[in-house]
Amino acid sequence: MSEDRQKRFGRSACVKCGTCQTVCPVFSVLPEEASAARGKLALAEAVEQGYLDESDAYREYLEKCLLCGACEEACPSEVQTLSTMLDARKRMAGNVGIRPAKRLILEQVVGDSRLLDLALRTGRTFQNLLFKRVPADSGIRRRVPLPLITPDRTLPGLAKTFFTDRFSGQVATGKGPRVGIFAGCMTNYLYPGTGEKMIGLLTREGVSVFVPSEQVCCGMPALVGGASETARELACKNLEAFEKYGLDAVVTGCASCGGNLKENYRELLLEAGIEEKRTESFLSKILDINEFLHRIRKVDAVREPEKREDGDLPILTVTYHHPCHLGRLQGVKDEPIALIRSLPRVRYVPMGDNERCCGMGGSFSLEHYDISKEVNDQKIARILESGADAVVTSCPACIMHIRDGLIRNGRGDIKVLHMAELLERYSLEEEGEGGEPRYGRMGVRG
Amino acid sequence: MEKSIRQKIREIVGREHCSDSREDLILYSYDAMNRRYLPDMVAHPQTALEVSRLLKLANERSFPVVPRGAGTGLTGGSLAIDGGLVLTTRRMNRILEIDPDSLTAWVEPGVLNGELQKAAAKYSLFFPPDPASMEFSTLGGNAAENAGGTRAVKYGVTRDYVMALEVVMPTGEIVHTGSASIKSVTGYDLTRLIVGSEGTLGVITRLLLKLVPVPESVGTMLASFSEIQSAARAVARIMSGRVTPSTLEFMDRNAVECVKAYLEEDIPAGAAALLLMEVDGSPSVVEEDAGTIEEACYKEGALQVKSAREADERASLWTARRSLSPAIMKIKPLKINEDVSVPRMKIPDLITGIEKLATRHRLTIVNFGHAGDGNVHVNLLLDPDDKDEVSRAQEAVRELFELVVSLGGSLSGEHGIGIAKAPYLGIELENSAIEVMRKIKQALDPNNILNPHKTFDYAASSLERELVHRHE
Ligand SMILES: Cc1cc2nc3c(=O)[nH]c(=O)nc-3n(C[C@H](O)[C@H](O)[C@H](O)COP(=O)(O)OP(=O)(O)OC[C@H]3O[C@@H](n4cnc5c(N)ncnc54)[C@H](O)[C@@H]3O)c2cc1C
Ligand code: SF4
Ligand code: SF4
Repeated sequence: MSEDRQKRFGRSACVKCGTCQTVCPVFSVLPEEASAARGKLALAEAVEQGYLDESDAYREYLEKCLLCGACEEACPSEVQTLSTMLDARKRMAGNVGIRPAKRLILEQVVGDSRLLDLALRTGRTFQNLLFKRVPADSGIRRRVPLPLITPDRTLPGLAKTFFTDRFSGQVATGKGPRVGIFAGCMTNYLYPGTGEKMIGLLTREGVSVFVPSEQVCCGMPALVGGASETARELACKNLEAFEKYGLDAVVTGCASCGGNLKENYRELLLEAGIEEKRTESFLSKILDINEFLHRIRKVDAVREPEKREDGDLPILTVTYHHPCHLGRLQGVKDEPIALIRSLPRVRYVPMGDNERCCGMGGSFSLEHYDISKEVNDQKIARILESGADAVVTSCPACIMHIRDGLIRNGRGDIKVLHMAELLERYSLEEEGEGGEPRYGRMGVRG
Repeated sequence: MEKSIRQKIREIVGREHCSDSREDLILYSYDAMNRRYLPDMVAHPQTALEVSRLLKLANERSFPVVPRGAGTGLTGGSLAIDGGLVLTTRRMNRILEIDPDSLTAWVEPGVLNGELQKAAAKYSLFFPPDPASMEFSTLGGNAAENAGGTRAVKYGVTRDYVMALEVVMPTGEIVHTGSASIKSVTGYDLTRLIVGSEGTLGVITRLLLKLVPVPESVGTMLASFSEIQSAARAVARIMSGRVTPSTLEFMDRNAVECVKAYLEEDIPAGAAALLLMEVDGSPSVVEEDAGTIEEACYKEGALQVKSAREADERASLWTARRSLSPAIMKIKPLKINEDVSVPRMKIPDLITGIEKLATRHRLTIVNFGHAGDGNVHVNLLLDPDDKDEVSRAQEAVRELFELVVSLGGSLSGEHGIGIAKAPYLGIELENSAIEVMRKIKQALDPNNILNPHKTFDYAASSLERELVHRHE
């Protein structure tokens, strides 16, 4: 009977019931034992207990995971699959090494912010040689064969000016709280417009806005790639960059960065020797843009306004996709929907499976674009069923992947918007007389 | 396993559809019983012919073959306890035909129960067997374990919905059993022999299943009682009346305690037993039957009966039942779940007996299950590090089985025997009956190739093959 399992196999809480198979996006595309959490955990346990070496096959099985967290949420035994996966990846990196090219990129380039910057600036120059722009500023496609990038994939081009080049230090002065923007790499290098919209939004809320120029990558790619040393260094740099402005809040528009800051920074900073008080103080300030606006606008108190057309801004029908790293990881699910509903010229329509992963999964989409694409097609189908003109979400990675999917499915006409973009454009009229924000200010930490 | 055998297996199913890499063997070394036995090889055949060739090879070269669906079995049925070949039905996963006129479906065994439900729903039909694992277990596995579910009280179990099978016999012959016609008495009922045989008498490669029209409406009721006895009397009153509920689930005092946190609103203070019931049919029948049931509950002293017709309200009444399994997991790290069954009227005797057992052995035991058909899930909760508690639980399990049999019951209502309950088989079955089963097995599988030692002879000696021993 199973009583001997704990004795023999340690304290893995996974009872191998198989429930996680019903929610795992990878399993839905590739219904094999190795795809869902049950199989991955079995392999990780076998390694831990010494019955299996960390072979290439093992690594490949473990890496076929979006780290979307759906399995954790569905697991009746509350198995912490994500932390087990991260630990296993960390171990692998320590024992057998990250694949050389990946390691080089993670440590040398991502780890050194100046190098990353340089690499991307150079990349911008060569981008036109390698990629062709596709119509309607939807992005770029490759011109010549490149490793990991298939010809049917549309990626955003590198921005002409990076976000932190255009904005740094104090960028707006207001009577409200002092708010720093944590841009994150995707916003900084690919979608600086989102950052700009955030500044505009926050400025109108009457807060003082800061963009610390020393901020670097949040370290998520390094962490999931198993390069923990690099992740620790990046965490410290960010702590220092934001600390010096005496901020009330650190707001991000990137679900993945926010999730990483909230979930992993405590351990990273403490491991790096930062004292607990300093760590906690920094962590207590981190908010997603949705959380911040929801609090400061007191949206709950706002009755959903009657929807009306307004001249050149007809009613926009939108649906919302919950980024895994915001909805599941940070529990921010109601805020964006409430914010959308509060807009007078936006109609919200729900989407089926709106919490299911879009298939991006960070570098997963590069290494397993075939699976990633199929998971994404499921998402696109739900978006089309919703009948929305635009899909709104809160993570640049989801935006990139969903846009790619819509184009691949011939529906590039459906817009993909970041919440900041939607709110910036559609809450214009919320401004009261003389540009004074209509909503009262309150303590940021609600 | 010899190299030349592995080579032959590769030739039969194709190199890309089998593996003997250590990673893949580990991936097919467990099921939901949560033990590990490493097979020597895993193969994913796609046709009955491939299965047949694999079994013929196994007979020639003498290695065990273990059929496997989704590996959600709770009794170790798909574990390769003697090594050999694990044969999955993963690639036999097509719904071949749904016939809305004859209300039948031809499926391959690897189709998930939930997938068939979805496909049948398009024709306003459903497949009544609904194990809690329906979204992630296969129809082949359901048939091999004769799975049941909450609807069994009115609709019966998997056995009642299998009309015909294509089976590859242990010696490799492909046999068709049963008939597409509802009445058929030609020869022995091989279909029924194969259903519930836990993969020991043949590999199911196709199933003809019966479907049922989706009822027009469903009513759900949650009744609370201050003691299990009055709940049991209510069950008796309901079942002996004119109404057959489509679901009749109960939870005992400990179970109610477990889920209280989830649903304070729906149960009154002092509730020590719950009945969750459903009736289905035309709206007027549902109203009438629901009324009859409500009355029966109040007559037997129900504290409260909540009733719902709309999907979301009904779902909220189900919360108690649905949150039970996760809630139980939080009390103690380990749970032994025995799915015994007794004649319906004996449920109160069983519960009383179990309470005594729990006191005597100082154990926490939570009981819930299908009151309508007498199938009770007895959950012994323990801490695996507490050696004394573990041995008290083992003793309690044996006594539980003896109690169940003394009440005219059965060791397993739906999860099967596999290896988990094989050592206890003799408590329920007389030697002569076991002997008949053994002879059937011998006649059909003279070389003891297919899923050997499951159901009867699983002995402690097989433990030696457990992963940990093999690689120490
Ligand atoms: C969370 C959970 C809830 C559950 N709830 C229920 C429930 O409510 N009711 C219930 O009855 N069971 C339940 N079960 C048990 C289990 O899901 C069932 O026994 C199910 O029928 C097993 O199907 P499977 O595809 O996983 O089969 P497996 O576990 O892979 O195999 C089960 C047995 O069937 C044999 N087998 C599989 N496929 C074939 C085939 N094609 N031909 C011949 N033999 C085959 C195997 O050799 C093995 O002996 C539950 C399990 C879990 C984990
Ligand atoms: S991870 Fe959770 S849901 Fe998945 S098999 Fe293990 S216990 Fe079950
Ligand atoms: S995190 Fe997502 S992709 Fe990875 S195993 Fe869990 S459900 Fe599957």
